[in-house]
Amino acid sequence: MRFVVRRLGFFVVTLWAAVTANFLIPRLMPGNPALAMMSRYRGHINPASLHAIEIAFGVNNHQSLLGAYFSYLGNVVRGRFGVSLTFFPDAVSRDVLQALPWTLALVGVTTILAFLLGTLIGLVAAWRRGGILDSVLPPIFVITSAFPYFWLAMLAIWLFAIKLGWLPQSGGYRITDDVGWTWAFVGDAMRHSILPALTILVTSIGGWILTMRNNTISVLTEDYVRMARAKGLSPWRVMWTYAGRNAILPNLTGFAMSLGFVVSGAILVEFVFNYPGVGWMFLQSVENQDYALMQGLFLMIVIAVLTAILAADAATAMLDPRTRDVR
Amino acid sequence: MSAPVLGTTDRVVTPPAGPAPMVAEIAGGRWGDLWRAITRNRKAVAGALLLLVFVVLAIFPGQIAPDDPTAEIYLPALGPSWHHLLGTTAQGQDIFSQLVWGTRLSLVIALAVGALATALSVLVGVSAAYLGGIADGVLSLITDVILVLPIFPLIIVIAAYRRNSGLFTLVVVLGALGWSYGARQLRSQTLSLRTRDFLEAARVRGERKAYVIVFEVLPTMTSLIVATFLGAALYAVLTAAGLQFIGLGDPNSQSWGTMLYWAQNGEALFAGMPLWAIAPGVCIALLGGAFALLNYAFDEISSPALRVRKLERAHLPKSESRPPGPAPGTIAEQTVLKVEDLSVAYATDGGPVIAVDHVDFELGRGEFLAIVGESGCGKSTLLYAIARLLGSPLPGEIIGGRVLFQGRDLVLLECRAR
Amino acid sequence: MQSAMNALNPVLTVAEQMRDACRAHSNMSRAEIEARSREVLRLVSIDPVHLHSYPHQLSGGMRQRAMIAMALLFTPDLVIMDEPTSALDVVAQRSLMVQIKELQERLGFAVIFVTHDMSLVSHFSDRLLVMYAGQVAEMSKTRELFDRPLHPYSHGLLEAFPSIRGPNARLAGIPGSPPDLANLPTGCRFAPRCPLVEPRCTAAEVPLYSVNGSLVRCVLRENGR
Ligand code: SF4
Repeated sequence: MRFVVRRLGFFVVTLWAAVTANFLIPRLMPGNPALAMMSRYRGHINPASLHAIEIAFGVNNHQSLLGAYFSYLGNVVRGRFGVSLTFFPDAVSRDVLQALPWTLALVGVTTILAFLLGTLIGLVAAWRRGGILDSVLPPIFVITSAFPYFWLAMLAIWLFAIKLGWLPQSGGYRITDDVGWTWAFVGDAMRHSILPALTILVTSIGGWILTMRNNTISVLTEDYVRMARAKGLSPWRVMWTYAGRNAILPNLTGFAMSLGFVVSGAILVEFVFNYPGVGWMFLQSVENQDYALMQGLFLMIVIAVLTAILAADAATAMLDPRTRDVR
Repeated sequence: MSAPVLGTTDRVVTPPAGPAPMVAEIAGGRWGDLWRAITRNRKAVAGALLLLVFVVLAIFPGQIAPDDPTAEIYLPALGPSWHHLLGTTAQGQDIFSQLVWGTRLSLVIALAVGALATALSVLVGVSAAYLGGIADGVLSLITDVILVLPIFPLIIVIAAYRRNSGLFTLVVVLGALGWSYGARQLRSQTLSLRTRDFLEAARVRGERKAYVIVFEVLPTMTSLIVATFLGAALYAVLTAAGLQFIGLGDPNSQSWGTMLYWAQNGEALFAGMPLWAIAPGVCIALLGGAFALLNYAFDEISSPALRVRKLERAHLPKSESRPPGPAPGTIAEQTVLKVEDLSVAYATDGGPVIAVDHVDFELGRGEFLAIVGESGCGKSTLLYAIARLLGSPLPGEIIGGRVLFQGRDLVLLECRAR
Repeated sequence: MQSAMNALNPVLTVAEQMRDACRAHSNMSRAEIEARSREVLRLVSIDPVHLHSYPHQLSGGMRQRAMIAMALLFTPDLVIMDEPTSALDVVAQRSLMVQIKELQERLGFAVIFVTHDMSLVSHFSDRLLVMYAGQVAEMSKTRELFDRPLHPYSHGLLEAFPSIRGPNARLAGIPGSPPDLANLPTGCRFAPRCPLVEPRCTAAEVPLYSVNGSLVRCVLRENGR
């Protein structure tokens, strides 16, 4: 129980840090871009959107910095991030919720898939030390882990969409489609997600394989693995419950830590593919200087990452009895 | 007239790779060991060579690249040719020259961010571990928070407010946000060092903390610090390239990320100039790959268990053939276990090592046999061999002799008669 | 049976690990396994309530005894132990040894017991096998080896622990460290550290000589004395 409470506390602290960074960054920058932006817009746009920007920045001439900070916190807690300029007059929260399912479907599924597959391959590679899997894969994935995601995305488009013409080159669905839960639409969306998904899969799987392999190798030297073999258990059982289950624990921690990296890559992949998810929208908002939307999306990304980390923690707690009762 | 025989003129005869000469065996000490470990590791050598090539490109771009990278003096969108190894851009710039000139900025960012992030990691990680108490709690919390915050979006947010900021800002921001992973590792490493004898000794001598940290703690962590640097450099290469690619770097600077930005803007892929988009990516991947390879190799060097070693039987000393003992497999009634002429070898970097060398003994029913010896004398290996715990995935292999067991095979011997 | 603390899988309960072992070797029913597990735990004087505990919930000594219990699940003919007591304090070491000996006498299994500490086994083992650099250095009856070690290395090991009779005796030990297995000296492997080394020691491999039923690898015993 204490483990869970501690992790929840960490969740809140991190979220708070992100919100505070959101609030402070525009103010700490030289020249205070927040105020500069305000004066630039004043008189050019209607009062409603001006107010929206005010909310986004927590800028209010009648308030002290601290007061502004607290009213900003209050707005964030109530989910009020202001109004988007790009998709005027949509509320930022609405836009974010619109983009979210796309990203969850693409990045979420692919990341989990990459993690599971990578862990499995890493385990098997370590189990058969010196086998084909073990001698060929590590060097390859050391290199692929250094590939820029967006570049691989460009390559994929060039090869499969332009040269071969097998798959659509951008977007999340055909513009002529009606968005809805019809077979045609879902199928089309799937087709559009193949290339971006493959890109994310290929670049992120290497890391999982390598860490899982190395963890397994060090677990294999543990006495309980020898003991399990001595007990005459089937190799299958030893590999899973003795070696695998112990080796995956540090890998779950690793999952939590490298998630930020995967998300960064996914943002760029969405950008290259014009995929209508959170990452693409995030970069759109940066381009359009739509700071309210940008901040809302940034918080969304933070929350998504933190939730995934909590899930990894929950998995750890389930697999490792030592975290369950700290005596 | 005979046709020319293909492939006979330029064949190079490579001498068989023998053991490297062991110079500086003693004098080199720890650094010598490290150096030898690096030169022996193929991944490390590949990474170092790649890095060297890029360093040369970064220092002497003018001598290598034929053209001014910004000069728009050629026909746009030329294909590759002798004049333009990789063709030209949509603006008529020579792509190869751009690549060569772009090396400098990419490399400078990688090294500077790597250095800054490593310095911060060491500072935070080591002092957290060394100060302990509340200071440790606070520093660790900060480390963890920065570790899980998605750095790249955060940097984008910062860059969005400060468009086209210079190299200095980029390096500071990347460095200031990229130290947490290393700090965490350095902290736990320092913690494990803290109680070691030589540090206790220093404390008893009354050395000041700062002295102890700088002169006693840091030197023992050289390889981890180097690994931290390599990891941070890799992160810098990729993150900086990503930022430049989406146009948040300085679009007028010469770097691979910026090239990709222009290539994307110029629809290079659709307009039949794929090399414009592919080549800079290859460079980024190679530079990143150089750091990743070195990093991985360092991992292997500091934890030898990760290296794959195969037992090279050819290198084993020939075991003198012994006169055959009693008929194979005979074992007396009152004997539980018979070990006959058993030899076990492990593979190591320096070739196979015989850990158990022709051991013979018998064990009677109900007998209590103790095997004693210092650690490393082969006693545990002998046990593993008896219990059949050698062989993949565990290290060690029986290379001679046999183990006979009689009786009900209960817990220990999995494949003998029940 | 393996060394020290870590021979139990930290993520499974004792009961689960015992069940694993039983499943691998027999087709006992769940209830039978449970009953047998309780029985062997009682054998090593662990309260069966701990059956469903995780290893980290047990004390060091209890974990060792749980390991032994696991080995006893099938009334074995041979139990192999690798430094089973090294992580315990002296008192716990003693009581574990006494318990192993008792069980051995009661159940009649043979024991191979690996340790670096000769004093630990002096009262328990029948025979001693001294290993050095991968080879058998000496193999003798325990009593005989303690009375009259034949190999200089055995002699050194005996002096490495304070004998019970002379508690103030200096820890003589043996200077130097074992040879690098990849880089063995010619002739007797112990020669670089041996106080009695002679020129002929390094001339050729030393074979095992038989001396009054003991085996020893030292040129000084060439004549069977
Ligand atoms: S053979 Fe010589 S060196 Fe070896 S133990 Fe005997 S006396 Fe010592």
